[in-house]
Amino acid sequence: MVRIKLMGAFAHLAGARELEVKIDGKKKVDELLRELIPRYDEFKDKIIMINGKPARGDAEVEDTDELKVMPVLSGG
Amino acid sequence: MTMKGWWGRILRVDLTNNKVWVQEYPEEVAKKFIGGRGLAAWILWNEAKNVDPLGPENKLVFASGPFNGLPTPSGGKMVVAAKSPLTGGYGDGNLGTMATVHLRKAGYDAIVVEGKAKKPVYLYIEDDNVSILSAEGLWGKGTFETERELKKIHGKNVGVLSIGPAGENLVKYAVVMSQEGRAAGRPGMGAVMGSKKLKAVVIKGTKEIPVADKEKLRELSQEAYNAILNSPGYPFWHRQGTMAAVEWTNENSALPTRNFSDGSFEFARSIDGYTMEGMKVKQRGCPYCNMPCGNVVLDAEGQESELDYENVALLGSNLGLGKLNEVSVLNRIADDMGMDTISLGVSIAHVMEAVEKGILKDGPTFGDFKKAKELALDIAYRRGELGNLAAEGVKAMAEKLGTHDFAMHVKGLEVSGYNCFIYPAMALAYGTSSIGAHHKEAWVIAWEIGTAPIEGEKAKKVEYKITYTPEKAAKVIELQRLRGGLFEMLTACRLPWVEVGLSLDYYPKLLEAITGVKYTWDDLYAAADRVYALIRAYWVREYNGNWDRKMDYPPRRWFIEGLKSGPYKGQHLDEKKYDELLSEYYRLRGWDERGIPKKETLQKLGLEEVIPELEKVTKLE
Repeated sequence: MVRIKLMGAFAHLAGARELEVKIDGKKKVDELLRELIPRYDEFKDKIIMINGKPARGDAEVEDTDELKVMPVLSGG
Repeated sequence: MTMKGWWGRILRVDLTNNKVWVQEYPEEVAKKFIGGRGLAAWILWNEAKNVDPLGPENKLVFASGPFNGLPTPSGGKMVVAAKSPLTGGYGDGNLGTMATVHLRKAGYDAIVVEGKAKKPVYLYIEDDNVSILSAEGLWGKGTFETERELKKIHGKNVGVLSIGPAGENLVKYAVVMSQEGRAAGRPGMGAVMGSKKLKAVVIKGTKEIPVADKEKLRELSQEAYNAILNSPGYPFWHRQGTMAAVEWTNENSALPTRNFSDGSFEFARSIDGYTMEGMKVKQRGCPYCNMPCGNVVLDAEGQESELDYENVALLGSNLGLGKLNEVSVLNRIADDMGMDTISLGVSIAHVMEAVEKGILKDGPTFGDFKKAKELALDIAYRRGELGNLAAEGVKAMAEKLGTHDFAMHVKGLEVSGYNCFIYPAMALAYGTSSIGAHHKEAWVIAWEIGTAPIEGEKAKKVEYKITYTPEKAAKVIELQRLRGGLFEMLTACRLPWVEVGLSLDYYPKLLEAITGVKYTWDDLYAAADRVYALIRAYWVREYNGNWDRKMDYPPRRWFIEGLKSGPYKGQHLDEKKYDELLSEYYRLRGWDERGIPKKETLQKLGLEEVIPELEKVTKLE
């Protein structure tokens, strides 16, 4: 299972703050998140972390990975 | 007056001599400086020379821009500026307020107040009629009650700007407040107002603002408002506003914690946007804004308090306070007393660390809400030795106590809500901001994290590395041009663009519809660069030429300590590499190695008149 922690608007759109998804083999982060988060591609600035380290949307995740993703909001 | 979009009129008030008059300013100035911060910088450069910031000769500027008073996306802002009593340099801040709508509808682009009244007064402006009225009955009151009282007298359909006890008592980071939660002028604009014995400004405007193409303005604005509502981020923004930032800054080791000694807080969850949602009782916004961000909660004393990220980061985690209802009390006190929440938070945190280290004997320690609250009130009323000391701000405290190693400020202005042990671009943004350590001009941290170098085939195996690439300096300038330049001159809120992705293309189009003047992006960038160069020239002149690149350094703590916890534990900025990044920034700006604009840069930006005056205090390259 890939454990996915969703923050901010991504959690709102996906309707959950944490998800677990079973994938076969490897999958690109963008592909995975596109299926879970409506309008995912309309967000320009986002931070993606795999196992606590920054990554890009084209990085691949596999079944034991932990993914965190957040659209970035400023503090005012 | 043939101009469209601008009135070309500034209301002048001399409180020493009880005089009021209207100054017309040239179309060329309107076009070059646009409004808001641009207009304020031009006025202060010309008029507030070598003045005592709290003396009658300082000028307090309330400046609007072409967007104000008209249906423009989140265009209800106003800039309040003066020479700063906190930093000794240029100071300003913006707030959303009905006062900007009424000011423009009264037929003015700005108000400039000089002199000092003998007794407390307030200004009442109704179109062409301006009165200086007694505020003796209001002096000493908080900003909430002051505004309510003034609305009882003048009706609800007015814009009100006021100061609280902090401004009256010349707290160095006192602000100007409006609508129980909107604040402007972190670097002490409220103290400048207090020094003039000006309690409030009440404005009622009924005129029609001349617009070049009304139909086009209506059409563009409608389109922009719809784009904001249809943005995928809008529903969540509506829920949490800027409070959503607590979660991600904490995740990325950027949440100021215990006087910026760490970047994540063990009780972050209990002060974040989700916790706030459970406490929210209403939402407030600025005029002409359809994405209101003022989340009002009930605090631990049953009072309303309007929260945003900065308040909670600096008065919460930065003080080691993990209960949002208590943090909300401090925030409400700051708003009602008229103090900047950021500088207040950093100043109290400085005291807490000094107490914990045994440098100060009495006072609050981290996590002590009760004593933090007492100190906040002592600061506002300048009670006792500690209250008086902390009212001077962190830089002054560090000079007195020798606590420079944990003094979180740049040029005297306390650092806002981003801890930068591992973020050099954000540190550069703080270092080079026009007013001191504020994020509004180049909030680059998201870009910096999002574009962190990823090496190797398997990106996920690579650590985030602190880098100092030249693109970081270029990015800071790009953002300063937009955020610190364009939006501050228009004067509009940047959040539709920053938070819900409204296209920047709307802004020059709206500006053209309002003024009839076609600005290309090159024109707008040049205007922004002009304002940055002028503000830098202002600092150098007011510092009598005693200026060097160290003024643009971030706080020492980020160089000499490391993060205390998290995946980047122990990491910090490298001073030499930061210095090289700063050189790149100067090179791109056309400033010399001291950070002073070169002659040719000033000429290119149409600031020739600045050269002889700067040459009186320093040699220009």
